[in-house]
Amino acid sequence: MGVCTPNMYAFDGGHDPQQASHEALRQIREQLTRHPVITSVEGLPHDTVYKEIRADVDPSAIGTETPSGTLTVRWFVGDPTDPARFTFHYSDESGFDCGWHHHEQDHVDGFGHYQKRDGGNYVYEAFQFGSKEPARVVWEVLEELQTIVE
Amino acid sequence: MLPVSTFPFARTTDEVKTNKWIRDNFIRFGTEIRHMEDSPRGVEAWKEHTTAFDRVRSIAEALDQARSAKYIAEEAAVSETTAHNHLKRLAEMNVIRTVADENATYYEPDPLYGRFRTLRGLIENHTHQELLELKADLQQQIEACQEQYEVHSPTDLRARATETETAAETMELIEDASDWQLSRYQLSILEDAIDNYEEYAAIDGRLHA
Repeated sequence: MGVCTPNMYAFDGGHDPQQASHEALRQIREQLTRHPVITSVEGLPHDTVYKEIRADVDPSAIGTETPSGTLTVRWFVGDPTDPARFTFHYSDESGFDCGWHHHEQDHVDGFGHYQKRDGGNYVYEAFQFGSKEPARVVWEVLEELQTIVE
Repeated sequence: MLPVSTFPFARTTDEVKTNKWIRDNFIRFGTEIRHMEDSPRGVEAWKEHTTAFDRVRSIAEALDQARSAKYIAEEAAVSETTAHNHLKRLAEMNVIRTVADENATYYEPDPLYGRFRTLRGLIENHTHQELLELKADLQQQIEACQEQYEVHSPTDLRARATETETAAETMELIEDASDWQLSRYQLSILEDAIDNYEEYAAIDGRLHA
């Protein structure tokens, strides 16, 4: 269909959160596959119908003598007036555990935050995402990860 | 780029002026203060590893609401003209569709295309028996959610999420409601794949045992 043909749909906000969540996860998976620091990607609980993406990070790509780590991603789309919620969480074999999240929490103002495990608890700080589009968030978080681990 | 520590607290008139200059020229991205002319974090690497068409497609395919070419151009780090040209091609390929109001044209993922892409993946990667097992798993997940929360739909569960006492409880309910929605969507495609497996597999030139 052409861009400005008479067949254009009326602007009815054809929003389907079920399909939007699915497409966001599919796109995140595709971007992780393209990223040079990622060695493998899988969907969970099944590799074809998944609710979570897990990616192995190449330790040599993000730092020297860095243990192997895993990035786990979840993405939730609600009503059109509701912001997307998502979590990008990283942990490695040494116990390092941190995440860039965008959702309700009681620790900092707003949805965006960075959390890092310190002893038994997480410490939180506000984090402003440059974009809330799934593909962009993947590249932003992985650059943050490289900065923090290096 | 400036480290966060150079973002000064104002104590004198000069410091107030300095802060205003920083506010006008810099923006905080993640852990860093960046000049507004710098690319947002991750975008340079994204551009290095993808084409403009890839980036426009990856933004357009995952939009959760209809957006203008200008919005998609900014998110995909391309010019508006480039975005417009690629969006036109994607619309011609039925990957996305155009929607319009009186004033403007917007773009959103074509739901039928997305559905068929998932359907194709299921037929391509699974036997009929495996699809039946996946269906049983999804049905179990949905039933578990219904039993746990004693509500009939993810919409009911989302409504409950607005009545919780803590942010953690809200997020937990939103996660479960979203998983439930996702299970329903995936189940509807799985049922289509199971019901029409032989026909689709034959069209695709493959027939699993």
